[in-house]
Amino acid sequence: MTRHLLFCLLMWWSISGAHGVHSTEAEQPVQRFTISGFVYEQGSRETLIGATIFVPALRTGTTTNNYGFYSITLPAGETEIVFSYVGYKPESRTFHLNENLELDMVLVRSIDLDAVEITGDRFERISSSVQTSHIVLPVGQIRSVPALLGEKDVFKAIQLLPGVQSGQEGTSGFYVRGGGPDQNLVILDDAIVYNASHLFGFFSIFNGDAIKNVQLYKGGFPARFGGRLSSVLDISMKDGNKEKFRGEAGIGLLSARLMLEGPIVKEKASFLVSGRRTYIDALLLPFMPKDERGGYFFYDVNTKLHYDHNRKHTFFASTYAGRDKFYVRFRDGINYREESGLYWQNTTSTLRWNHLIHDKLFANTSLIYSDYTLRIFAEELYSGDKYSLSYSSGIKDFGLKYDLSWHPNPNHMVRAGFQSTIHRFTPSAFILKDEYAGSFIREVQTIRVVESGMYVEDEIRLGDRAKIHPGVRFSHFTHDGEHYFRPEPRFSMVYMILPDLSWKASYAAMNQYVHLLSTTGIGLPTDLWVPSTKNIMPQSSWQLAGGIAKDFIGEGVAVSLEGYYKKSDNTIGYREGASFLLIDDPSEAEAFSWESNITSGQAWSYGMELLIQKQHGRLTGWIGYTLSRTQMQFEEVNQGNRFPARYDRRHDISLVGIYQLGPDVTISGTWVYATGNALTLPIGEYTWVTHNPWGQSNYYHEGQFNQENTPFRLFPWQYINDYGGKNAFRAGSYHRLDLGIQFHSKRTLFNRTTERTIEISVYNLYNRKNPFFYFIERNYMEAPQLKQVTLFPVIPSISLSYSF
Amino acid sequence: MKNKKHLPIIKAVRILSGGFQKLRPALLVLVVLLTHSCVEIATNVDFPDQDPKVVVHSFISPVDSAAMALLTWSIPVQTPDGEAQLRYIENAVVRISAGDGREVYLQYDQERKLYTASTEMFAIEPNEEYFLMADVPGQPIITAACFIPPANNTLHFIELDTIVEDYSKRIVLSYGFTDIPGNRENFYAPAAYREIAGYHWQGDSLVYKKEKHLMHNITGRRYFSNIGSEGRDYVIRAEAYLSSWDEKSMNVFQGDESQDIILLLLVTDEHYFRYHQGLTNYVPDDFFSESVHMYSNIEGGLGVFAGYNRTVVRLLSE
Repeated sequence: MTRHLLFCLLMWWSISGAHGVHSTEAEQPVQRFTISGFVYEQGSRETLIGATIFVPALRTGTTTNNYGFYSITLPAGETEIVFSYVGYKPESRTFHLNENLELDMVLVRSIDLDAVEITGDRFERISSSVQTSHIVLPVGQIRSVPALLGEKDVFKAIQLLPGVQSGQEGTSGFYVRGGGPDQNLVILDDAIVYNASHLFGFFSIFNGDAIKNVQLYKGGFPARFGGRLSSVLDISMKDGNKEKFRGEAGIGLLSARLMLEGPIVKEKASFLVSGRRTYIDALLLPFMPKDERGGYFFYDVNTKLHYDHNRKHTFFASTYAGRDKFYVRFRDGINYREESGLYWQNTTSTLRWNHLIHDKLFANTSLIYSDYTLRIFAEELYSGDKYSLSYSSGIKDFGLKYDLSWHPNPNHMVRAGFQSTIHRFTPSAFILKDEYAGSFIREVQTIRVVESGMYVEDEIRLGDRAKIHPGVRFSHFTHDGEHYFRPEPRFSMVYMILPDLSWKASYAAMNQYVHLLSTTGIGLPTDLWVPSTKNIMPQSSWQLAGGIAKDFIGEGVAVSLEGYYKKSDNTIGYREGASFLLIDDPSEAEAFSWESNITSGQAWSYGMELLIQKQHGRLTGWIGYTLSRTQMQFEEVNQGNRFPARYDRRHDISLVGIYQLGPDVTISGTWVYATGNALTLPIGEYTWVTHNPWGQSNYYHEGQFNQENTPFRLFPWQYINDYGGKNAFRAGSYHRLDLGIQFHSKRTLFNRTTERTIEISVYNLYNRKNPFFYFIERNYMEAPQLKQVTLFPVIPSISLSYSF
Repeated sequence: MKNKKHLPIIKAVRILSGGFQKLRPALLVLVVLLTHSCVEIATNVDFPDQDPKVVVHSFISPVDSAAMALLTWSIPVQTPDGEAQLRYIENAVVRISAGDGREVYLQYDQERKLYTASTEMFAIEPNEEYFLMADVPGQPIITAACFIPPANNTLHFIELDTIVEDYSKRIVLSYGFTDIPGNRENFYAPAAYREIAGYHWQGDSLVYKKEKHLMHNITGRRYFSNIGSEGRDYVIRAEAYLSSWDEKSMNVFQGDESQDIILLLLVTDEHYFRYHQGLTNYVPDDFFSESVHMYSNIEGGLGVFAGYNRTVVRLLSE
């Protein structure tokens, strides 16, 4: 089927592409010129991603790419172009086009949102975009949505979108259209982030101060993305202010943060540094004895350097480094000292070179490094002899990515490129040094694989009403002589029924070559990334999506209704009784394979999503509703029968509202409702029996233990749970209301405008006792009871931030 | 001793776990701040009524003198107070049959509360499949199948070290075997025992008895398969403390007979492996883990019907 689809796709592509060029040349033998440039934010010269460039007379246009670049080729003559971007005042330029033109545009952030004129021609309309299942989440909204303990979190905001489900309450992992957290491709400036959570999953690693743009793809994936089945979360960091030095500092109940940015050479080079750290360990330190100290903290630091060499060459260097650490130190006199703990850390670095080859051809080259490490350590110093032990696991990537975007004429926007990544997995690394015993042991298991992809895609305009976006990605993966080579056809289309109403459809085939082994499903640092092998096949999926999109231009409201069907194969699951807390024993990692613990199966997910989004005006926000079903089937799980996925939820509703009460006050609120998770709970229990190969055992009989000649060893007061069907129990529904209010005050200090923001928010305002988990409590000879644990009752918080 | 790393591992784990005990103040504050959770009876969910299920356990082998099956009832969650206890099934009809058409009905042994049939009457052969059927009145027919693997006769002793430490003495044993060649997936359960003979208190009298004490496996898992390591040589290490408090609590009188070491290698079928691996990894009510469904190959019930073969090497104490 894939071959046929690919063939049809390529045929259609070539035919439609040829048609577009020929008809344009045949019917309009007029001279054409190209207008190209960058769109910036006024005051910072930060490039704007996805800004709209619209030509009203021709009812055509384009958008800026991830680097703020656009290119559009138009017929000669009088031309009006309108530049617009959400939250910014639109700008219009009229000129006589008689040569190729370089036109950069600076847009001014709209202070008074009511003053933004909203017309049908000035904003990109959701109805005219060929992309399905794609949501751009304004960073301003992320920063306004009330959050647990006041910690603004990209992932928590993502969880409020239709088609995206949260995992356990309070955790930042997200599930897109039935896929697991490992099936989300999370990219920060082109670098893959493997474990995007702090504090055992309660907070994500993304610091809102350093983020410029957040885009989520749930389906209809463009061919430039690959490697995961369920979603792409593409996060871009700010480049740094190229016009003036500015900063922002803040403190909440959990952490304190600071961001500084400014020009190194005005309008040519800039920097950005943003950091965040928890401080509870520092507060507790005075209360601990000097000889016994311990604590927990996390921090993250984002840095970025940006240099415009000239119009044709721009360079970026961005880095993220973050760490969570638990530690304890103990000292006894001067002769004895010990320290132990664990930490996990992410590091990503990207070096990028934007090359404007000519006004229609834009290239980006990225060198990418990503590293995730978990380390457990213990050190002991006794009378000068040192004993140290370290156990670690992780994944390290070195990648090269090259992307071209070519804008030959208004009817085509072609993208092509390749990416190759060397993954270096370390399922376990064990190092021991014992000076007293004179021993040194170093056992490091590493797996090296190469994952590559080539792609080409074209956004083709077919007349006034239709656009198609065909593409194909060829992915390749090699490990230990085993090669997987797979084509991944992609296709999206939009047909305009009315100028503000369209019908959309998409198809995408995806493959995933790296897998996350986890029994928790909540993204603990102990989860392990492993590659496909000759025994573990790559995961694959295909997804069909379709729906309608409608813009209510005057109201600034966009509505989309979308249905989807997704089928996944070789989905990774865990064999009954498998536990990854035990796999790959540090000292014998090679002898006992993790592969024998996992199994693969199929998954089906289908549903419908409604999104009503308002991005303009005093009131912004969205209403999201998801109706969905996700089922899984593994030959070796649940006796081979289908079962609902843990986060299979029939209904998921989110209401998000942000209201600008005045220039000084912003009110925000969210209300969420979700059907309870599908859980596995015991419906009964039975006595623990093991085999005694000697046929002699403690055998419980007539109320006492006897030594009998039987091969069974009974443990009469120890029980095994009988869980019945996998995920057959449905937890109680989940709902919660959060409210927040921000007070802004501005003043001028040393000729500089500063702004102070105080935010007071309440999480779970009406103190809903949502189930975090259930368990059966059983006392001797008493009827067992089902108990529910609630984690987060009503939690007020306050935070303060200051920008200058 | 070639490799002394395992003692430090234990030491490191002790340091780590001991260290985290000292983290309690910090953790306490974190817990209070982040998780002032509450536990209460769940009232907003439906919990289905369940009837007791038949639980079958049977492990058969050519080396056993009898094939046995243990049948008990499971205890549903909503069992009334006072009835939640182990109950045997005594009125079942239990049959084991072979692929060649031979069959035997197991007789209920009232004394031992299990069903049994002598293998003299019904031979259990390696490389054969066997089928179990149990008919319990009022219940659907229970069925299961298992496979008897061949024995692995490559089991051999490698090395034995005695290590004297400050307050204890322990032995570290190495032994090995070679994976059975062929394309089949093989499952192993190696173990080393010390056979301790001596007088034990049984009631008010001393009884001379031999006991097999399992040595601690320090190599890795007790149960494993050869996936990814086909045809390789396995080396297993096990240890035992000789003068620990635990040893003395066994009521073994000092100066008793010698302590032989017995090496055991079970080659099992997949059902045996998955059931016992499941037991090894079984963590009930682990709130942060997916529930562990205990493996069962019993159609219409719970438990396991599994086959195994056994190789034994005895090392005399001298």
